[in-house]
This record gives sequence, C-alpha cells and structure tokens, in this order.
Amino acid sequence: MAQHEKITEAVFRAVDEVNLQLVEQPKIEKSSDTALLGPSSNLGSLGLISLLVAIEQQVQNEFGVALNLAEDMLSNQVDNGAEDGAPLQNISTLVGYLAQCLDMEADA
Amino acid sequence: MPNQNLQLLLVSDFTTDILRGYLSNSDQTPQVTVDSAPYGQFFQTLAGETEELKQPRYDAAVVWTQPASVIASFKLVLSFKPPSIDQIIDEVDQFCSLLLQFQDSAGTLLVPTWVIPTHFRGYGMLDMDSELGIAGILMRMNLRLSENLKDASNIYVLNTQKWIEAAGAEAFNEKLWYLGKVPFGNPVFKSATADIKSALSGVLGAARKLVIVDLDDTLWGGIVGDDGWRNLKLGGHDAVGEAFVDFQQALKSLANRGILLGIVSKNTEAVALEAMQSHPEMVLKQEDFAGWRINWNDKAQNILELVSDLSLGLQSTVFIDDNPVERARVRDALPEVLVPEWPENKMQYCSTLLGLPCFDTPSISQEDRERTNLYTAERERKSLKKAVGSVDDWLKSLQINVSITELNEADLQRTVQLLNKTNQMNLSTRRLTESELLGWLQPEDRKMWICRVSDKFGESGLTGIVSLEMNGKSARVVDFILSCRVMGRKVEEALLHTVIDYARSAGMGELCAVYIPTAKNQPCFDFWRRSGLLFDERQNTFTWRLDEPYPAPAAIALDCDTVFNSAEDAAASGPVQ
Repeated sequence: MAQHEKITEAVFRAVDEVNLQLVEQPKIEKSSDTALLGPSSNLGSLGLISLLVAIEQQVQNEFGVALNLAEDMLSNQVDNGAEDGAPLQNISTLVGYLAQCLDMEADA
Repeated sequence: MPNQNLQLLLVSDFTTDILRGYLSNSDQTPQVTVDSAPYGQFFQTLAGETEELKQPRYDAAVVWTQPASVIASFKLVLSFKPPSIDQIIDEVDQFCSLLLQFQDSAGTLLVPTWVIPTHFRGYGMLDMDSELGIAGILMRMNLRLSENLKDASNIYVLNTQKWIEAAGAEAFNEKLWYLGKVPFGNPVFKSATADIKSALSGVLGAARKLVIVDLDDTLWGGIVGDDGWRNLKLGGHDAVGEAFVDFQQALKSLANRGILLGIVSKNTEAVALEAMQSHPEMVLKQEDFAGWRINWNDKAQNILELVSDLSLGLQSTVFIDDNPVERARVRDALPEVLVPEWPENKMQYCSTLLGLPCFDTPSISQEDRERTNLYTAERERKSLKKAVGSVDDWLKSLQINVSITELNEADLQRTVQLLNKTNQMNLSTRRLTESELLGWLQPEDRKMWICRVSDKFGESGLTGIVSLEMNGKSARVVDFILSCRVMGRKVEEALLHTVIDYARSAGMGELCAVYIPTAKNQPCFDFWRRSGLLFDERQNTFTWRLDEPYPAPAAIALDCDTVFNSAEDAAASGPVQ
C-alpha cells in the first residue's frame, strides 16, 4: 500500500474514534475535502484537539513516528489556517502535511 | 426498559464532552440523553445553586471529580507536605454531605472514586503508608467516601481504578489535559461508559439473570459424544484443562450473586449428564443448573423453551458458545439474548466471563443467593411453542458450501483420523489404519468420498466421509461419517444425495445402508430414520430404489462434479461384476 493511502487510512481511523465522541454536531465525513477548520468544519475546538491527538496516536502506531501535531498546530507553530493549502484546511491537506512530516523524519 | 431513554447529567471538574459522546453513542442499553453541568461550577451544581440545568430532575447523574479539586488538603499531600489526616477526612465528609444534599436531584447518583495519574510515584516505598503516603491517603479518602454513602439508597460508588488499569499506558493523556482539560485518555472513558450503563441497567432491574452455556469445547475440552467423558480436557496437569476448571468455578460463583445457569447443547442428553456426574474434576454438577436442553434440535428454539420454563425473559439471558455459527444463529433468531463474542483461546474463557458488564445489580438479597436452589426444586416444565426464524432460512443465510471429492492421497491421513474418532454420526463405526483403508479400496467396485464444508464464517475443513461398495446392480453404503462440528446443517442430506446420484449414474438399481448400532451412534440412526429411505427393522437396513433421484438440500450449495465424472466412467465400463 502506498504511503499516502496508509496515512489517509490512519487519519480515517482517527475520524472514526472522534465520531464516537460527537453528540449534537454532524459526524465528520471520511472524505478528502472534509473541512477541519473554519466555518465549513463541524468540529469544535475540543473535537479538533481530540482528532489531532488521535491522529498522533494512529501515526505512532502505523509508522512508529511521534509527531506533535496538536501542540504545533494549536500554538500556531505551523500555518494552520483555513486558507488554501494550510494543513488543517481539509483532510487532504492534512494528509499532505503528514506525508511531509514523515518524509522529513525519514531523511533525518 | 431496554428501549427506555434516560436523562443523564454529568457533573465534573473537568471537560466531560468525550464521556458525553461515548455515553450518547454507545449501543449498550439503556439509551441516554446526556447533559453536562456548566464547566467549573460543580460545587454550585451540587449545592443546587445552578439554574442552567435543562431538567428539573434527572433520571441519573454522574459526579466525577479529581481529588485535589474537591479536597483542598489533598493538594498539600501531593506537594509532599505533612498531611492532616483529620482535616482530609473532614473535607471528604463535607463533600459527601454535598452529594447527599444533591441525591434527590437525580433518581440515581453514580460517584466514581478518586484517582491520581499513574506516572506519579509519590513517596515510592512509603507511598502506601496510610498516614503519609499519597496512595495510602487516597485509599483512606475513597474508603471514607464509600462508607459515608453506603446507606444512601440511590448512590453508588464506582471503581475508577479498574478503568485506569484496563487502559494501561493510555489511561492519562497530558495533551488532552493541557489542551482541553480532559484528564483521561479515551479508553478510560470507554470503560466508564460500559460501567455507567451497566449500573443504570442494574438499577432498572435489567441485569442478566441467566447464563446458558454450551458443553463441548465450552464447559469442557473435547466432544463428549466422540471422546467419552474420561477423555475430556478438564483439570489434571494440563493448562487448558485447568482453564476449563477455572471457567466452571467462575460460572458456579455467579450463582452466589443470584444468577442462574442453564445448558443448551447439541449432544445426547444421557451421555452429557453422565459426564457431569462422573468426571472427577467436574466443578458444575447437574444440580447447579436451573434447567437444560440437551438434544439435537435448533439451539435458538431450545433457548426459547428453557427461558420459558424458568419464567424468565430473553432479555435476562446470556448465551455462551464456542461455535461462531451457533452464536450467529442465536443472535439472529433471538436478538434480545446477549451473545458475547467468545475467545478461541480457552485460557481466556474465565476472564471473558468475569469481565462481562451485564450482571450488575444494586443489591444482592438472600433470596438471590438461593435462587438456583429454588429453580432446581421447582423444575416443572411448561411448554412454549413460539416460532423462531426457520432453520432453512438460517442455513441459506450461512451460505454453506459442501464440496465432495473422491479420496486422494493428500487427504488420506486426515480421513483416517476422522474415520477412527467419529462416534455419533457414524453408520458402521469401522476403525481402519491407513494401509487397511488403502487395501479396502483396491477393488474398483469400492469408492470413498470426502466432504469439506465452509460457510460465511470460514472453513470447517474435511468433516465428512461416505463410501460405497457395488455388487452387480446393488450398491451398499459402508461408511457414512460426519463430524459433529457440522451436524444438523443439511450436510448429511448432501452426502446422501451425492452417493445416491453416483449409484444411479453408475447404473445401479438399488442402494442400501446397514446401520450397526453402538452406544454412541444414535444420532446417525435418527438421521437415517428421517431420511425417507425404506427401513427394514429386522435387518437394520435402509434401502432406496435408484429409479428415483434423492433430492439435494435446497439451503446449501453443493459441488460434487468430480463424483459424477467418475460415475460416468464407471457406467461406461458396464456394471461392476
């Protein structure tokens, strides 16, 4: 399985976990263009934290790499806005960002 | 109760959104609609000073706090300052007073015990000191909490430590704490959800009251009908045997909580009961069971009848069986019965049983403890004829495939094993070595076929044997063998259809089968008696005129093409002389 697909599956498993925690708001769709931040997103602030922590766990399990997504993104150490191409714009951009992180880890 | 939707309130000093989500989305009954008390106002909520609650009175509330948030003196303990035990106990008493004041605001109040993060070593070797150690003092606080609340009829203290231990390294999550004020990892909240729902279910009188178990490879290791009770895996100097003894002891201990035991098993009743009474290491005896159905009938129907006999409801029943096909059948036909997934590893039977969150009750009376005796004394049967989904429909849903092929060298060893160990569905109970079998097959007028069975749950492997001896225009079934793993699923009919069609294609005029009775092969006789073949009681012989085809069972897919290729060859060479 290609790296990109593995990352996407890891993100989707985290989405499944977080969907079990959502009550009133609609469930997060497992789709590449699902928005994670901004007015189009269904996630509240805790939902986003929970998703990022769950993704960290999945990446650790799948690739053996410890990332600090939650603190990096939520403390603005990376450009996390909803604008085009930012990591949290949607699931596709997040997967792209994760792929970059993993490549950097592999090169390090 | 199972469809009841309860209004549940969460009162806490931490963010409860994740717990609220798990409680709301869990399939476990009862269903709940969950509100969270305003964040940071748990004291005001308990004191009745919060006006933001959506309900005037909730069906239940969970008050879950961290010890340093509600017991100020415990903060000093965490800082390694000399503690004032009296002050700590006094603060615990004050907190309990608040809970007692709040208890009328909810039908049931659940209070998880206090815990601290597992990474905190405290005083190390002094930490269990009850006057100094952090763990020791925390235990005293929890004990005081429990004692203060034990007389409150609607307050129950839940054991948080069990959830922490189950979550292991994922119990505490610093990131969730610092970023979201959530102290625990998701596994803790999942365990809490299961226990909270189980407690609510118990309070509503919906705890399970009856555990029905299968016998072979569930209560003991092995097939009693084939192996005999002396050869069962139970106790002894054997790891698996010991695991079965522990499982039986765990079942027996349930009776002390007022939970009844029953048996539903595909077996010959006399053989199974003899094993229970005769095996020296059998923990559970006949008198430990409130009732049983040990026969070859559909298990769902048997469960229905047994539950009715015991005047219980299906929603009170748990069914334990090692066979995934039987579990699926009961789940499908009787959805109210709890059928837990069961481990393949027999050493996990005991822990799986003890971990089931379905027996919790708010109290245990003396009558509960004596319930099994009451049922044993009053085991008068009432009949209940209630239809469940048809067996044919169930078999179709299983997508059973039966493949029948002529015996080849690769399957010889397994075939001989099956021939020599099968007792129940065995027409003649012949015992042969590999070389004896090969010798018997030398003449061309003798044939042996084997069958493999699979269904949507997986492969059962080589599970059947049928052999034929032809003489002139007459064919005789010599062996007719089927493993008990697949008995009762129309595989018998498929074998009989195949061998009859083979004999017809080979130009035979009549087929017969001589039943040789043994102490164990009554199930085989029962099958042949209902097969439709003509039975001659004096000769113990079944016959079929081969100008008539024998129908194939409609509910299963049968692959026997190679059988008929060889039949055409046999017919082309003329009748066997």
